[in-house]
Amino acid sequence: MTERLDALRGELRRGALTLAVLAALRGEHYGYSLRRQLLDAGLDIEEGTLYPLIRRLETQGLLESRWEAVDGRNRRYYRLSPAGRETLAALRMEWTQLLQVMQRIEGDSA
Amino acid sequence: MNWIDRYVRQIESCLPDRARADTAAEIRSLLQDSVCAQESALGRPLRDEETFALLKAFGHPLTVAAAYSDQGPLVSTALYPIYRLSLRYLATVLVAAWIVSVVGFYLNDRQPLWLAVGFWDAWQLGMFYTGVLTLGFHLADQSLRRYDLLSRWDPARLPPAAAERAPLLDTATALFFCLAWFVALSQVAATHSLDTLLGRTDNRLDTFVLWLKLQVLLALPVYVVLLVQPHWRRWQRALIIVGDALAVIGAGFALSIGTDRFAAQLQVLHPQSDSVQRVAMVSTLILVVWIGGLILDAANHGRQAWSGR
Repeated sequence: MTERLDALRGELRRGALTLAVLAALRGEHYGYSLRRQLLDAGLDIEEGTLYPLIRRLETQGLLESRWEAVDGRNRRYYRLSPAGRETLAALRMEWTQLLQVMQRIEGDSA
Repeated sequence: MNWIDRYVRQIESCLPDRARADTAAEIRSLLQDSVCAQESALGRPLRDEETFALLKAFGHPLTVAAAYSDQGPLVSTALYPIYRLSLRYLATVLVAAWIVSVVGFYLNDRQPLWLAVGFWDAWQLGMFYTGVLTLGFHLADQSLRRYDLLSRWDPARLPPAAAERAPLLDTATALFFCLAWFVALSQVAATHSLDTLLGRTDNRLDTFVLWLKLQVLLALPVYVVLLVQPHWRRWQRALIIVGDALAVIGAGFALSIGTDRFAAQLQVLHPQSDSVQRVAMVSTLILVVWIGGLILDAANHGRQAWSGR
């Protein structure tokens, strides 16, 4: 039961993950700081899921990145690109509609 | 070399060439950030077991490399069921051919037949064809993705729900008999010429055999496709009908060689025989019955195609 619930919960969260990452990257972050911010907000994402996702979003042109030397080593910083901002706005609208739909469904079946 | 370097090196070896250095540098940076954060929380450098725990939480190098790679599998999940089915057929055919070959080897005074008799040779042959099949599917997969072929599918071309599902055993048997029939027809030393085809050589057998070969060549692809897609489609029935029609035409040409002319030809070929007239008569009867059978078969396929099955 717990395993099944975990799998379903993971599936549910995966859908919202892109939106959360895009929203968090309105400000500039490096990988670890992004993870911390999401964690502080209550979203615990595995590193193996989060970091490849950031790379994919960058490949899709939704994020911009730059390398910066910090304490004698390089660190990659990410932030939303103009296309990413547009996508975030569209996804937010979608998310709001989804919430409303869910509330209606919940209300109907209550 | 520290553990993080080892870990990153391991991931690096599994990454695609074009993004290898950049991705490896990023993963190293991410891990160093995690290490720094933990070390500042603990107020001391990480012990080996703590580094191991951190690396384990990050994931197995193969998993991490796969997550960073945009490469798909060799055969996608869309084609995988057909790929698996094809592999099963290939294995069945190869094992059957090998058994026949081994049996033939012992029945044929230990003279090797057409397939390697040794198990290792047969195994290598199987591996070769498996590789060819896999490569074929991989290339097909690439094309499907590149040209987005699966999204262009036409629901109007779906097989009807009441389609006659061709049982595997029937299809395999038909395919086997087609091949055996073709081999048997090839044993007849008929001249492949237009004159023979049009019945100008006075030899019914040669003329009929050539038309029958054409019929078999049309039927073979039908049964091969039926192995993979066990639903009769209209084009398959059309090919069978065309094949039947060709065989009827061939029988017609053969019959256009009159019984007496054929008997005379037989007499030339077999001067000692005193039964050529009877053989010629029987051949007329066989051809007429054959034509009847072909017409019935074509009518049956035509009826099924007409009714959408």
